[in-house]
Amino acid sequence: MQKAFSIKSLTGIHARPAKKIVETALGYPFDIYLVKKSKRYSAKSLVAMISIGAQYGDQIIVAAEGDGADAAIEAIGLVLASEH
Amino acid sequence: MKNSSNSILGGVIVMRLMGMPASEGAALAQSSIVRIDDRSKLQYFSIKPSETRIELELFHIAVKQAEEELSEIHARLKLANRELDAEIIEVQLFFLQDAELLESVRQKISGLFYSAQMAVQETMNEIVEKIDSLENPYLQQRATDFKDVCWRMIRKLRGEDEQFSLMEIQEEKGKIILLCEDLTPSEAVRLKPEIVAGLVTAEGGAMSHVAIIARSLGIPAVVGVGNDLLHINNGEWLLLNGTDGTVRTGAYNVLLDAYRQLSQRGEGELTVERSGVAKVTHNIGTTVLSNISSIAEARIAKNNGFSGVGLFRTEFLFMGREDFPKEEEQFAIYKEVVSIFGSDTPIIIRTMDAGGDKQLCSLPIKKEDNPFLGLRGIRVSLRYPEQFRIQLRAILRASFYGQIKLLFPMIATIEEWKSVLCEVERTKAGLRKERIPFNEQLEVGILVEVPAVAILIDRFLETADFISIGTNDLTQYVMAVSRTDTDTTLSQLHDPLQPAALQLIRHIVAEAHAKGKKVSVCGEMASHSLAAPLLLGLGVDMLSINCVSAIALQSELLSQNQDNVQLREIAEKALELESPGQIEQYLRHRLKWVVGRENIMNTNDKPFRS
Repeated sequence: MQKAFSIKSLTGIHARPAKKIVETALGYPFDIYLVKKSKRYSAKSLVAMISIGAQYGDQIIVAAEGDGADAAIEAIGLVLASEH
Repeated sequence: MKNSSNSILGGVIVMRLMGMPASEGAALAQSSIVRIDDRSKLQYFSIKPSETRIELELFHIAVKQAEEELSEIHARLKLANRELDAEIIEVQLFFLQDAELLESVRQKISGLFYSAQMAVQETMNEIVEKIDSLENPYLQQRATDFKDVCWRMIRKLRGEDEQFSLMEIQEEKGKIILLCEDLTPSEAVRLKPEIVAGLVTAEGGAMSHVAIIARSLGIPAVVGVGNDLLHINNGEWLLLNGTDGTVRTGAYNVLLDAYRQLSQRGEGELTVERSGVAKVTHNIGTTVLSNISSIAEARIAKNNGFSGVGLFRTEFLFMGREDFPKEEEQFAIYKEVVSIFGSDTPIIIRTMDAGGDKQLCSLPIKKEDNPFLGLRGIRVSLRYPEQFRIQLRAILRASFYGQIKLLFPMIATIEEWKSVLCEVERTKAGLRKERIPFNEQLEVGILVEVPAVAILIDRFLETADFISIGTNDLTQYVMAVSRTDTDTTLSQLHDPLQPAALQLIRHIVAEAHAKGKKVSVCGEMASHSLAAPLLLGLGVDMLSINCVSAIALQSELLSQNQDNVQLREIAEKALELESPGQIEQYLRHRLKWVVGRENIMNTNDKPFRS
């Protein structure tokens, strides 16, 4: 399952939110991916979360499969849509 | 790069490196080399297929060791309540556990038969390249953290001891002289004078912000030493002379003697400085104000007897952090500076001057080919009006408590200036509506750095209450030469004594005085013992100088009896001359008290490199 979010933070996904995404993702036993311009990045990798280079206004799809995937997607979406 | 000399004396190799004097004073301490990693040679070699298992195991151990080191550093920082620094290490720890990184390294070992070292190096290069290609300077800074982590692993694989990194310099190691290729401004603001006795960089010019920050912290510094820096070993005793721009190695006793001589001279000057400012103000009729960039510097300036602040560089409140300081935080800082000086003292606050070589983590400015000709100063503030408005509100609120004036950097056109005035009025209207008190008569001024403003200054003066001239930037834009250039011939062009720059200053002063408005100068030039009297002769009303490098100027101005008429005549004559060299020679001759004080002046033919 997947859901799209748009980046609300003016500074984009910088180190702090990137770290928050990884922290959140590591709490789930299944793979979670962020998709930008049809490229896939693992939400469990800080390197990936930084190299995604998500900027203000970008559309990002969060995708996961497994028990509790919807909760995981929402939790990560919360970070993506945060203004800070 | 420049003439360095080596000799062998009593078995100890004695080296003398020449750079550019960037921050006055002498320091004697052991060297500490930072980030030399980037220059250490990469070692490329592969392994036999049968060795992959052991190589993977070695890699695993290196990761564990690196993790232990970082965790320990993290714990120490937490204990010292250095939350922001601790957070940087936390990010590094995350990198160390990164699945993508670890997987890529393992694949290179087991699939391509790379040695673990080489696998880490290759992975590091691949990922850094990817981050660099995003062209986002903020993320590129994170790449530095990432490289730091990779090098830690590589060091572990090589069995090498840990080298210093800026974050890890601990107080118990005693004072050190920091050696590095270059420092970004946000790194430089983290320098601690209680640990760093001196600073030597391979790159950078004397007008770079690293130099300015070192001066404001009172850390003696020599910049632009070039590759000679590589010849100094970690832990070697160094004598740094930030006044003449030299760094010496040699036997400790010899260096100590030389240091004592230097610092005795220095202390003599310091005593003069204590009572200096008030008298200068009195004798010459010129107000001498100080440049500050923090509350700590406001206190230093107050202690040194300054009667006010001529330039509060607020961007340093915004640097080295990922978020913007909120209105309340800024308000508290501005109010505190007012309360340090008292409610009758002028405090000129310059709004955030980001861009150029001062990058903010919190503001993504696209990489520019010529940052000094790009998005900086007021251009940034008008591009991001939300942050600008917050700052204006905080300053206006603080204006209720004292004599705050507002100064705007990098104004180039009348339209920009009108937008700025609009924003100020808008903020005032908002405060009135909320019944929050502020100074209705708050003065607004333009910082003249762009030649366009200088040329049309009469039009700006219709709405500006005062003018401040930033000579560092004005000279760079008038002469079309970068102030951070280390090329010797080019950096001579960046000389505030260039006749064209002086002529422009005279023009600005004449126009301002015709409209009954005051002009101050806040560039490095204002604190120079030859240039300051010249500025006074040109009619400049106020000088704003660094709270530390002010020492020489004050003692010099004090010891002379020339009055304004005489200085005016000297300035007129100086303007007729052809080159900075001729002007300097003439000034030396006319302002005789400077002769013989060569420790203050740079005696080579580049008078304004300090």
